[in-house]
Amino acid sequence: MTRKLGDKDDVSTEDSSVSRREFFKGGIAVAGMGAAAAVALPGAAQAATPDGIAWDYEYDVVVIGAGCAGVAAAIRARDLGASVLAVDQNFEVGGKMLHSTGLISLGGGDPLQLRDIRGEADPDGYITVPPVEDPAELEDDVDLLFRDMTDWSVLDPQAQAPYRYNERPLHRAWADNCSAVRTFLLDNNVRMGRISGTHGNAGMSRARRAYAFLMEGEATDVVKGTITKEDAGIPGVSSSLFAPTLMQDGSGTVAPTARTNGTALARPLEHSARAKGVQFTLHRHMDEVIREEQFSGRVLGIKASYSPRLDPKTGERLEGYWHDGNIDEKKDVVYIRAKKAVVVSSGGHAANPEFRGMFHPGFREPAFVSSGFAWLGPRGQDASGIKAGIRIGAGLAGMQQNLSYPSTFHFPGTLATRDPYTTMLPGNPAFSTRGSTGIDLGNDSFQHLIAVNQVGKRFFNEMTLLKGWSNASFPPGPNKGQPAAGLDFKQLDWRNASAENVRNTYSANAGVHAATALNEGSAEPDFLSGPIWAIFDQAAVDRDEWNIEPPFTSPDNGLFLSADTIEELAWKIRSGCQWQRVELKHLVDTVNNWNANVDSGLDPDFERGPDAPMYKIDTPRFYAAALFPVWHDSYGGLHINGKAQVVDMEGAVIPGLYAGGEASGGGNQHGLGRALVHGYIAGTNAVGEPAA
Amino acid sequence: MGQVSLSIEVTSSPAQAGAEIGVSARVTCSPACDTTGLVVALFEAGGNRLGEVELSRFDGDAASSDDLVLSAPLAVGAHQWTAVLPGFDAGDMSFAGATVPIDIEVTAHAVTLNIWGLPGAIAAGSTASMFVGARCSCGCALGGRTITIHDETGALISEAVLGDTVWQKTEALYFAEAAFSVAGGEGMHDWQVRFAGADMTPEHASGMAPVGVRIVAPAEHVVTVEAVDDNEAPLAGAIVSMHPFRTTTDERGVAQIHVPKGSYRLFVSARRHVSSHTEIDVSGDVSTRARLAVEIRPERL
Repeated sequence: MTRKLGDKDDVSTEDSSVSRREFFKGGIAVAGMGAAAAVALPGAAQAATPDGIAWDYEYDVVVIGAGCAGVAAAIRARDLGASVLAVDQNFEVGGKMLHSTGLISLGGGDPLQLRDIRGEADPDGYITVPPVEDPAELEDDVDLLFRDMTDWSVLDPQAQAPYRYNERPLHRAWADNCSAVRTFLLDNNVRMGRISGTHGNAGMSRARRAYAFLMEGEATDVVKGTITKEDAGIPGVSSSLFAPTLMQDGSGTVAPTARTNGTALARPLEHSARAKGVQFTLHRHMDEVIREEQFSGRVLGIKASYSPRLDPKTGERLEGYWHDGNIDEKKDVVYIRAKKAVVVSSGGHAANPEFRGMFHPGFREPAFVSSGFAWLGPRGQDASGIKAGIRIGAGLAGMQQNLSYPSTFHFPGTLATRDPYTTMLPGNPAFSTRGSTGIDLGNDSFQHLIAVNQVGKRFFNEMTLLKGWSNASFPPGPNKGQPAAGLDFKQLDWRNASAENVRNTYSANAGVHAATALNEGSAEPDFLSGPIWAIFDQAAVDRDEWNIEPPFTSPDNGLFLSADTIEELAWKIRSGCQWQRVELKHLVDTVNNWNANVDSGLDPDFERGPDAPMYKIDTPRFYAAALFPVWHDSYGGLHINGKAQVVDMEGAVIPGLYAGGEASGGGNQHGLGRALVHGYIAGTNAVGEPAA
Repeated sequence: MGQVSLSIEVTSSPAQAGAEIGVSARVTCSPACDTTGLVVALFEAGGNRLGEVELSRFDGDAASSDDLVLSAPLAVGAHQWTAVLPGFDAGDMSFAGATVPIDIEVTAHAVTLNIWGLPGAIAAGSTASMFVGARCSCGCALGGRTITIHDETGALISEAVLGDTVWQKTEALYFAEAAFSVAGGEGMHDWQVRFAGADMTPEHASGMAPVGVRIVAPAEHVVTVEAVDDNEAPLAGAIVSMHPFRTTTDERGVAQIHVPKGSYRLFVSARRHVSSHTEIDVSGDVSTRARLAVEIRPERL
């Protein structure tokens, strides 16, 4: 249903008992609801308006990015009567939320905490496991939550302060709205299991995290809360169009046949948004936020260009699961007017090498991508929302917090893929971008390989490359950077930040920094560090039973190479991988030296050996598999206040501009809880803006 | 007065004997002129015609040809070919033609040797074997050629003939299993594996690979290791290492290693389990048990 200005369709809402997919397949029009329905400009009738811009579309609220913060903002604004258009560059609604693990940390005495304190199940009776946490660990309130999220004293195992630099007005509002957002999710068909612990950097003192889930059933129906096994994904075999990543076992916090991940959050929200009349235009990239004057006046709308997600092999456009409510506009550039507000929820900067290079120059290397690269495509997480904000004067916040979350940049440990941080398997259209699932190794499997840089030199003890995951969250304890466990943790206690505590709990791992450090192949002008390669032999493949055949590897993506000899392998890497810019001139010597180390039982270079046995790399055939780190999340972004309004460099609100999720900064919380609340707040306040 | 320049590009120089090389021509004129359609002939030193390339593209400055694929000479050393550009007229300029030399440096094929399957420790007085693989840089068949194994004094320890089939999953790695015996001299020994190819046509360079051979005293004691998982179930196929000795557990999760007395670090590792390690002093037969926890994968957040 294309809705340009002049379209006067009335509203119809669906019977919630109807499967969403069937509903949309039936072609029933879903239009704007209430008095504030969108006014659309027929393309042929475009005319220059007093602001001088020929708008193609006009809505009350325009949301940039249909991910976690964006969908929440869109639904909330729609619930309050606004016409809403969400613009996304991907072929699907959902963004990283759909690709995620579906962990939602809220709190402050939210309905799930209360439910588990009472020992109750969910209304459907799907939850059969008893509460995971003791009632005392679930007793929470807004003030406790706010203190947790701004606790200056907490240092994590990297001696970073995850809460100290959190923006105070933002987190007061975040804490105030957590409980409402949990209710909002429940009201929009999101089902969540037992509270278990807390997601990264969502507070140390109470348990606040729950998985979104769906139950295995005969049909996929998000209203009823069910999903088929095929749609949930078959381990080791396939993902689906419905769930791009493999849904996980939810037996620990829900029931034996529960499946969890972001699909169980994103699909119900998308379904609800479409049913309520939120419209989407996909395959469209926001290029510019338009303000009356560059640094003054209110925000008027956006400029967005057609940017179709294409299958890299067939060239065909990728298509999503649901279509009704989509505006399938293919015009190169459209101008979309926002009568009330624009919400920037376009994600972070994880896939923008130049932007992330501001925080870690080693990650200016373009070979490294963000987590979910295949899912989001080459234009996902490109910092476009942040850059658009900067161009009209927006301030930034929390930029240094990029460095303080353990998994911001790290080695996921999956070889032979450029997108190692995903469980996406063949079956989803985006898999064509991934190309191979990779060889997914645990830490212990690293005993069978060596890792080398772009000149073929080892750089670290391979057995520790994957380590470094602890964050400061509940339940605290030494592995979270705190000496106490459970409720013994004391908020705001100076001892949390004492040197003695740091000495006792420090466990940072510098492997990823060694991997991205300058090396002999780093040359002007950018001194890029180049790819990282896992080198191993056929004996390792046989010993540890690695599957190196497609789709685990790809014969043509340059990330998995094999040869009869190490000499030939070095040549193949150089000639076969687009990211390899120099000769691996040390590779033969490195392998010979490693084999000599194995003979001696010692690794004088990196002290590997005490952790695990060492094996020679000597049995043909020889293999090289890309071992790429990812930049997982973004923590620096647009400065927003407690209303999710974007604040400029002078401390003034930019009228009509809101932001949230990874496009915003000043909140070092990991995951969905942060973005959902931002979106909810933004949607609430955007509707309250005076109409232009 | 105008000028004409002929340049010849060879894709691989030096070239390996008999290997394919690409030869292309490029002609520039001053003032510029389009010479497409002209044919440049290529000759060996003895005058044999090798072939010709046609100038087929003009970029406004120079006319150039595609590559002509030829075989490099078989004899190792310096060779000189010639390229002949015929005369032509262009505007006011008349060019009488020219012959230019092409220097071709030919090298022998390189041979890379791999050694694998050598035990980490060999008891003095016993026999053992190693696999030796040889790979020609041009992928030549090396079956029937002999490899030799020498000790640190250069004395011949063993020799073997490479088979006519290549090692599994390789493209051109010809291999042999070479058996040998060790007489004594406990400790690490720096041996060499050698390949001689100077008598081959085309000529192959000699190949050499060092190999460390550890000779140890005969075993005196047996260390019996039982590997189990979290649930006390036996772990078959677990790797048991006491450097330089190594073996794997059987279906009962049991392995035995025969070692001289001494102090060792005992590693037990199994797929998807966290390796265990413990220090162990062996002064008699020892039995021990290793319980390996399942490795918990970091959750993808």
